[in-house]
Amino acid sequence: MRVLLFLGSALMLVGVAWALLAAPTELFQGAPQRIMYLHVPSVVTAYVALLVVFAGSVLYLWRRDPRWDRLARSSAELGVLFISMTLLSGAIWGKAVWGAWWTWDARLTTTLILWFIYIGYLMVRAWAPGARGARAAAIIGIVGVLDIPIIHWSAILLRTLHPQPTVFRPQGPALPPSMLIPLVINLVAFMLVFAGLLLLRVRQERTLDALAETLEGSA
Amino acid sequence: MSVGAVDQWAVEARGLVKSFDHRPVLRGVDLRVRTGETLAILGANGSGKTTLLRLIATLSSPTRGGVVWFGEPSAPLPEIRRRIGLVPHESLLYDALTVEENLRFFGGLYGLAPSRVESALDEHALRPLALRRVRVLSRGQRQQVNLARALLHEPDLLILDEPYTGLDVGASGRLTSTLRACASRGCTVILTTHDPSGAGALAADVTVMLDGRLTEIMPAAGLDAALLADWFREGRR
Amino acid sequence: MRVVRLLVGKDLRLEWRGREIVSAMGLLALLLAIVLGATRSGPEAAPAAMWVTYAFGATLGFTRTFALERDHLTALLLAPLDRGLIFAAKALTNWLGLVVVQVISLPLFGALFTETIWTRLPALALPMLLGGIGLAAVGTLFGGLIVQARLREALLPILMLPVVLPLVIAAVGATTGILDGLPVWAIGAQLQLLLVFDIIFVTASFLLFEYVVEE
Repeated sequence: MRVLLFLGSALMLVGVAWALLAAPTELFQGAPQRIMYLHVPSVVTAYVALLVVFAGSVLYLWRRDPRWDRLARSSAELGVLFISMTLLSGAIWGKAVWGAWWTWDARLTTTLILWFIYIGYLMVRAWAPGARGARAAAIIGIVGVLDIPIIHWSAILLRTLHPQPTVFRPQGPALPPSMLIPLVINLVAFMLVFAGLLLLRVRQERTLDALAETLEGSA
Repeated sequence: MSVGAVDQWAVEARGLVKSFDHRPVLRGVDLRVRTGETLAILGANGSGKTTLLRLIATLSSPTRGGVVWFGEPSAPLPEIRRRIGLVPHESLLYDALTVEENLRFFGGLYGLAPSRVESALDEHALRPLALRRVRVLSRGQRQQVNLARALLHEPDLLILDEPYTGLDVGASGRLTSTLRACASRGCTVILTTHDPSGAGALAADVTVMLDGRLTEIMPAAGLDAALLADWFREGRR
Repeated sequence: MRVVRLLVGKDLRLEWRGREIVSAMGLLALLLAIVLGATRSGPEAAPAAMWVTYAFGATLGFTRTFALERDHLTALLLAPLDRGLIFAAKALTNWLGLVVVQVISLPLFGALFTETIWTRLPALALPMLLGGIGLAAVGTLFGGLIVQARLREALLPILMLPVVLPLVIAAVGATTGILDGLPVWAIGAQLQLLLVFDIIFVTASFLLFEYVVEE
C-alpha cells in the first residue's frame, strides 16, 4: 500500500512536470489545455471507482461478507473525490477555453448526476451506520452504475433539444505521442494513488470494525 | 403433519450467534424443541429473547450458526413460513380495517378461503367484534385478534413474544386455554415471558436466556423463584 | 397475481378510509402547479412544470405508503410470499396514486399554461404512463430501502431525483414535442428511453427488493 502511494505520487510528479514543461502547447486552446493531463485521468479513475463500488455491492448482497461492504464503502468515498476533481478541473478548463463554467453536454451532465447519486450513497452511510445502512447503500451502488448509460443517453437527447453554441471535444481527434505519453503517465499515477488510498481506507475500516467488535464484545 | 423420527424436532438451532453492528446479542444459542412441546423462554428485558424468536420465525438470519425447521434442512423458506405462526409483541393488524377485513386479508396471504375466516371468528369468540375497526379495540381484544391471525393457517409451530404482557386476568386466562388447545392438537408452542408464573400455568418446559445463551431446558414445576431472580441479576450484571 | 390483487386491494381500502396519501400528494401537486404557473406560465414552461410536479408529488406520496407499512411489514414477510410480489404490489399502489395526481393536476396545467393539453391528450398519455411507471419503480425500491434502514424520509427525494433525472429529461422532451404539435414518431427517441428506463428499473427493483427487506 505504501509502495503504491509512493510510486503513484512520484509518477504523478513526473507526469505533471512533463505536462507543464515538455508537452507541446495545443494550437487552438493554448496553455489551459494542459488541464487535460489531470482532468482525463481523474474521470477515468472516478469511473473505475464506481465500478468497484458496483462489484463490491453485488458481492456484499450475495455473500453478506462485510469485507465486500468495506471495499464498496471505501471506493465510494474515493469515487466522490475523483468526480469532484473532474467537475472542478473541467469547469476551470471550460471557463478558459469556451468561456463558460458549465454546459449541458452529455459527459458533463452524466458526471454531475453521478456526483449527486454517490453523495446520496455517502449520506446513507453517515445516517445509517453499520450493517443497517450497508444493504441500503449496496442497492444505491448497483442502481447508480445501471443508471450511467441511461443518464448519458438522456443527456444526448437534452442537447438535441437545447443546442449549444459550442461543441465540446475534450480530446479532439487522436492525440500525438508528445501529448499521449504524459497523459498515460498521469493515468497510471492516478490509478496507483487510487489503489493505494483504497487499500488504506479498507484497512482503516477493517481496524475500526475489529476495534468495535472487541469493545462491544467485552462490554 | 407427519410425526416420524425425522420430524421429532420442530426447531433445531445450533450455535446461533447474532450481532448488530458488532454487538453480540446472541452468543451461541443451542435449542431443540420437540414437536408438540410447549417451551417458555424466560429472561430479563433486552436479554435477546426477541432476537431469538425472530430468527426462529425466519424473519432474520443469524450471523453464525443455523436453524433447521421440522427436521427438513433443505425445505425452501416459503414452505417453512407456511407452517409457522407468529404473535410478536407489537400488533400486526391494520388499525383502519375491521377485524374481519384483517383476517380476510391475512388469510388471503396464505391462500385460505373466506369460510376459514368465518370459522376462526367463531373459534376465537370474535363474532361480536367482527365489524369493529381494530383501532377501537382494547389491548386484550387486539391480542385475541392477533392470536386468531397467527392461528388462521393452522401452523405447526406457534411463536409468541411476551403474549401475557398487559393482559387482565380474564384475557390471560383465555390466552392460556387457546395455547393449551393448540398444543393438544399437536402444535409446538414457543413463547417468551419475563414472568415465570405464566409458564407454570401452561405446564410448559422452561429455559432461561442469560447473557445471550440459553440454560438447559427444565420443567416449569421445578423452578425456584429465588434462583431465577439470582440468574436475572447475574445476566444483567 | 391473486396475491398482488389482494395486497393492492388492501392498500386501496386503507387509502380510501384515510385518504391521507392522495390528499397530501394531490394538494402538493396543485400547489406546485400554481407556484410554477405564477412565476412563468407560458406554453413553453408547461412540460417542465408538469414533470417537476409529478416527480415531487411522487416523492411525497411514496414515503408515506411504506411508512404506513412500517409495523406490518413483519406480517407480509412472514407469509409464504415471494418478496418480488410485495414489491410489485407496492409499486402498483404507488403508480395508481401518481396517476391520480397526474389526472387531477391536468386541468390546472391546461388552464394556467396551455390549452393544447386537451387537444393532444391521447398522445400525452404515452409519456405520462411510461414516465409514471419508472417513477413508481425507483420510488418504491428507495422508499422500501429508507424504511428498512430506518432512515429519515426526507432522504427519498435526495436519493431518487438524481436517479430518475434521465427519465424526467426524456419525459419533458416528449411532452414538449407533443405540445409543439409534433407527431408521435418524432419523439420516438424520448419514448424509447422511457421504455428502456422502465424495463431496466422495474426488473432491477423487482430483483433487488428481496435484499432490501431481508434481514
